[in-house]
Amino acid sequence: MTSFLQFNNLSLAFSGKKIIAGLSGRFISGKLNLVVGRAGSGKSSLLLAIAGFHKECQGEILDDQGRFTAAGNISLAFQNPESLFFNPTVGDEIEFALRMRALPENEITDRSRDWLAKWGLPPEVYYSKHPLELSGGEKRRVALAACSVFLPRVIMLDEPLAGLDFKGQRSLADMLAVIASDHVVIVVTHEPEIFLTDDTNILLLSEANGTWFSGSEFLRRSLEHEDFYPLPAWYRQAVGPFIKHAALPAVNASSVADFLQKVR
Amino acid sequence: MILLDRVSYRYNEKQETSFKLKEVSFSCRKGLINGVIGANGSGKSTIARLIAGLIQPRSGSVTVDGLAAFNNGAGARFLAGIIFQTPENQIVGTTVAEDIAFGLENLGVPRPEMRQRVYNIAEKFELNDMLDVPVHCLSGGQKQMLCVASVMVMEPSWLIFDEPTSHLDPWTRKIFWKKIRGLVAAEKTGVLVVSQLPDDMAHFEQIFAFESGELVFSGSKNELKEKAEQLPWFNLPEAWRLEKLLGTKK
Repeated sequence: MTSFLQFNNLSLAFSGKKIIAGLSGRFISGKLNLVVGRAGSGKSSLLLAIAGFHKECQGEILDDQGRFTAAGNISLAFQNPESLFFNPTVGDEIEFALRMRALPENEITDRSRDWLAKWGLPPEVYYSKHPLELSGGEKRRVALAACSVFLPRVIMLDEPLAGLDFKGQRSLADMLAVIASDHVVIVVTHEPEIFLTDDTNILLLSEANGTWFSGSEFLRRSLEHEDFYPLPAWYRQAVGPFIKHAALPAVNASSVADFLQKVR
Repeated sequence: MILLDRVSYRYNEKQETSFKLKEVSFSCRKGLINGVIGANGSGKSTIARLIAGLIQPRSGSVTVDGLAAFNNGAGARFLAGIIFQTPENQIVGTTVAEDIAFGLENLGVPRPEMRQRVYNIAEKFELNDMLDVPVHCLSGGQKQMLCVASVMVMEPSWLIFDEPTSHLDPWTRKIFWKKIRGLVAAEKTGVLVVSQLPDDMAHFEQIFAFESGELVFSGSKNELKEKAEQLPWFNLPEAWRLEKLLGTKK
């Protein structure tokens, strides 16, 4: 089992231009790892570098066993993963990765059906549907289920929330939290607030530098300087006056209401 | 004004499970931000495509400024331009200037006028220093702005945005909404935004909500707020939930 992914002085360039310079630090299992930053700050390139697809890359990536080998150990869901569907049914789409790993046929179907159900899509309804006749949110869930069914050691998702409705976003966040308990799960996102808890591990990329924060440090910095990270206006308004408090609430109404009751 | 009169639509008539839009009627006007909300699969994007004239209603009529949205005839005024969720899907030029000029070339605009219009719109969207930049070198936010510029240059009467902010970082989202406010205030171009992000909804002034192909609410944001409790399909934005929680706990 991989419990961390460590960078030592990692630098990435794009057509000769440096996009990440000397990044050190680690993603860990047991909690969600988020990568945030402005468009063009190198978030997706970092995922590609971990996957071994980004060639302009210097420095080291290590795991528990030494130098990290991406082949067979990662799953990378690109933005809009549903655009990569190539099978005639949802079931075939999910089974593909297991079939490539030569699992026994009955195990392939059992595991795929169970996995699809875990993503909130009952196999009796969805298994034999054509992937393209699903709604946007259902397609996204099928795509992410297909990318992760073989449970590789490192699971990376690039903007998995984009285009999902509130319910879809919530269930995806819950699902990822479960997988993260024993896998290294890395999520690139513009909506970190949905995933944020006290101990979320956040990497903020900005002007070629990477800075690591815990969830609560990140919230505090965002409240101190709006331009550091623009959190939703209602959260800034409600929690802003109590910035000095040790534990800031998560970005959802119930946590904030409980927090305000305690501090007022 | 955009007017939908008993509009229905179905992607695949032969298949029972195919999405169906059921007799929808509503209208929206310029001068305010019109928003279409609903869960995945509710029919939001179908509405956007019908208004932009990309698909033809099975029954009923869709008109923009009194003219039929679908097949309104060559040389007619450009009624409603649509900006899709993923900018890459609609960038066709190899450079910024080429992409902006593409629509004008299709409309047969003479070269000197084309050059002037490309420059003017690029200036408005802060792309004038980038006219010769290859489109693949732009950031996500810049690509989004390019798509808006490339549609705006054709001077459509309405702009339809399908999930415009879902690929933007939060800094660029703020800039996007500032530009939309400016556009709406000028009252020349109508704006309809399809989105399910609660942060976007905070900007909407007139809201149309869809569920399973049906229009289930239309009204102002305050009206929606008042009725929200009785609308089982509606997920309260966190800001409203907080107000409610604090209200009951006081």
